[in-house]
Amino acid sequence: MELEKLKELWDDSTNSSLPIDKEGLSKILNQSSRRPIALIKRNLKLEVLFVILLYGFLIWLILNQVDSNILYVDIILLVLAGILFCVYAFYKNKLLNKMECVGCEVKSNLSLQLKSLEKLVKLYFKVGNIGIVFVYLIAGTISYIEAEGDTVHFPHVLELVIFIAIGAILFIISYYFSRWYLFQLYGKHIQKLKNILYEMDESDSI
Amino acid sequence: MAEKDFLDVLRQHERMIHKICHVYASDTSTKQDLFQEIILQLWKSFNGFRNESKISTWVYRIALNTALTQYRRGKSKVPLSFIGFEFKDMIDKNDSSDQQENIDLLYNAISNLNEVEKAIVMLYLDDKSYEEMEEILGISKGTLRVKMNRIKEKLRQFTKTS
Repeated sequence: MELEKLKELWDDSTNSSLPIDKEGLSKILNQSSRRPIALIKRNLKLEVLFVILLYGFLIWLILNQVDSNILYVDIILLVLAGILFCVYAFYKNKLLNKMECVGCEVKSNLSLQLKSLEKLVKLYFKVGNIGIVFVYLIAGTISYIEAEGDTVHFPHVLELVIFIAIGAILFIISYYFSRWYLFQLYGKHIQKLKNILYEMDESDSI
Repeated sequence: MAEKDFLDVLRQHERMIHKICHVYASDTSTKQDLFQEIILQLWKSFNGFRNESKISTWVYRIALNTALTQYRRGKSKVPLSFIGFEFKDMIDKNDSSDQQENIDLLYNAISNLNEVEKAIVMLYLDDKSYEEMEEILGISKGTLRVKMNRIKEKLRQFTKTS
């Protein structure tokens, strides 16, 4: 078949007229996007909401002195964790806002998306693993202080060794789990973007 | 007013969006999702359009960027039939079965190309110049020509053997 014939066929291949009116359009526009970036943005909102609720509960707990064993060290650790979360959420939001430019050339948009997505995955990986260590240390400190009452004593060597050993095991599990989980979430999409860019670069290197 | 202008733009480019959905999505539900997603992205970017390029170039960029980065997971959104829209057959019922067969053949041939080649061939079949293709895809004219020759050869061979 001649290529000019293909053009004619292509031209003939859709004959429908647009049946979307104002009402139909507004129904489409009311739908939420299912694109990867939109999904990550929604997840960030949920993360922020969860942390706000958690901190709200903790503040209520401290103000009402439900747990009399809460010490200043616990409050300092919680404030520090809150600040770290704010830094993480701010950086992630900034990254997401710069992640794509749908009105730009396809190649530049795809490389922008790939670079940002790789940065985001690295951020998740680091924050996830550091977060586990941090939460473990806070939990350990709080439970140790609670067990000892108001007076703070240094733990025995054996206790410390057990604490570090359990922490190390948890860290190794979390390291490999987060690697696997992040691959499940973003790995295929990153690979797809890489393949498309490779196809584009392949044509550029001819 | 913006909504009216937007509907006008959609009417002008509806066929092109349809074709992109047919080329990049395999089943009806994915086609519907992609169609809605493209409209959503066009709407979000509509106020940002500054007439620096042709409107068709802008629509093509958004539609292709959306199609190439779409996420295939989870259930379909609200069915398009719900809002009075159905994906129509690729050809009018009045047309001959030969014509239908040829169109099927063309889409089958295109489905054998990779994602980038699909985009290039669509632009070629829509009579876009290499300058416009470069503006949409960001691939240089020279390499687009070489790539296009390969695609033509692939299409020729496929349509010959089928």
